[in-house]
Amino acid sequence: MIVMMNLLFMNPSAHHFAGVSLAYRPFLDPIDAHSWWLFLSLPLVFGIAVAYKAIRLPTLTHYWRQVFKMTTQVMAALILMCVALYVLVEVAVPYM
Amino acid sequence: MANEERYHHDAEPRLNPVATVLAWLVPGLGHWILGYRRRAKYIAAGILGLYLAGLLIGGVNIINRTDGFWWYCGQVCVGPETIVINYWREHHLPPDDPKDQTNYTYARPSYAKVNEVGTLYATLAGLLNLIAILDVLYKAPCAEGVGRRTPSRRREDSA
Repeated sequence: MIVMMNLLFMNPSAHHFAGVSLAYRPFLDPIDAHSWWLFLSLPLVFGIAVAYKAIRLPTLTHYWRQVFKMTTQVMAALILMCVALYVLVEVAVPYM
Repeated sequence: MANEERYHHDAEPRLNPVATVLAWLVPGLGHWILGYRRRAKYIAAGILGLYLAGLLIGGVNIINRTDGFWWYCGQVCVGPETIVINYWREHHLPPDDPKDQTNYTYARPSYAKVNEVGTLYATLAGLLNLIAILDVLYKAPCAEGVGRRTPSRRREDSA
């Protein structure tokens, strides 16, 4: 019983194991994003662009355009690096 | 162009110690004090948004001075709230006896990628605020005047 309680309250993945879902408490509990955490990179990059462009732009005339441009560029670079690493590890290295 | 908040390159930059401290206390407040109010709103939205998102993703356990000291150093640049959160977390650790955990407020630990992503959010927010702090440290006030509500600013504030 103690082992089961420990699993329930200490290990988030144990909730699925036991078929029990505890209520999410904001700021106290982590979200269950283990299967889709990669998609959290998009709001991260957008937030960085919002703050960085507000500091660095000489004028704020085209602020939002610059924010979306930076977000797109960084996300495109991330995706390209993912593809390049996938090709290197899965395709190129096995033939070396 | 109305209220571009152009950086005042012609004016003599000056040291702004008060604005620097305020920028650490509340992200964006340093720019606000110097008259860059629109920039201040965006800086606050970006940095506090990232910080709160990190806390929502990984819980307060992403702020851990003991186990992640260098991450904590980055996070503390967001402001004193990081120190308060770390203090609270250290004094609300899960009780050893699982039976006591049901009636006790504590933060459940986060693991693996969720912990890493949450930590990354909060630390990057801190490093961005460090850029903002260094930006206001030696800077000329806004060309439109510190604290003055010009017609263009009034238009923007009411929009």
